[in-house]
Amino acid sequence: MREHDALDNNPHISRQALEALHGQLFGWALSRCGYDDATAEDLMQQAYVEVLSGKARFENRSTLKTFMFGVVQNLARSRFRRQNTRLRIIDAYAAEQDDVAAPEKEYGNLKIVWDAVESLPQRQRDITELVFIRDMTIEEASTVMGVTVGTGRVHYDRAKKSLAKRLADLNTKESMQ
Amino acid sequence: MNEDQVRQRLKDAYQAAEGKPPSFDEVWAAAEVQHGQSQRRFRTIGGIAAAVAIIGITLGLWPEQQAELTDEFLIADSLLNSTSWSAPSDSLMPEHQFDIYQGIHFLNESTNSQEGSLL
Repeated sequence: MREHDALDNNPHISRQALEALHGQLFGWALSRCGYDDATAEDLMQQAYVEVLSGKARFENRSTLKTFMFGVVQNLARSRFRRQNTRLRIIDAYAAEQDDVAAPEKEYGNLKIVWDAVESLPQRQRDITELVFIRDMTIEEASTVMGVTVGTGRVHYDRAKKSLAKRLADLNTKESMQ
Repeated sequence: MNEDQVRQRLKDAYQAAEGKPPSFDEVWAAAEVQHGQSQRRFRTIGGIAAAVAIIGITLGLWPEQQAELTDEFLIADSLLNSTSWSAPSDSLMPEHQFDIYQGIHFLNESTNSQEGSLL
């Protein structure tokens, strides 16, 4: 059904629905581009242009949230792929990727949490963020990441165990203080 | 540490790292402007392509039209200069298969007269 503020080239998407997702989508865009605000905002704008033009067309085959997260993910991938091709520094880029995923760490105990997150491989980090932070199901998160649900579930379980183990000391430390 | 505790720890960490998102209205307005610009660019390119196509077609057909006119003038001119004429129905008549005068080398005429008439 077409909503009253549905987009011309995307009748199943309304401006209001996008506005409701905006905060979470921005968080996802941030983590895609190394927590650089300007790049994340640019990525968001590009995602909205894709939706406005109908290049990214939502057909109600998934939830709007999954769809929009997928759009941002694909845009970020193609952007970094272009950069890679242009600069031909794939190795340097891979090293940079490990660095950029870490935001500022001056939050006391949050540093321990971030260290634990950073220690995870990229896919485990992604599925953790999508499930824990963006409140997606494992199925939705797998769709966004472009992996099968089985693979997604394996990444999720490993990430959860690894985080629980690494953060176990945190509770003990806090109870002692 | 159980799953809920891990989740809460992570939420706190991400929240602190992400800060406040930019205003939706601003990002949306910027996207609309960008979309409008690309549409205008597309229309301009489309218009130019259409104009080029029209000019190309016109120029491509012009020599052909000119040739047709020249042909018409030539046909009319040859008709006016012609001294022979044949009816269109002549083409229906059978053609002569032999020349009836071919075997006759002289005319069967005489200057002798008999009773006032030429023989």
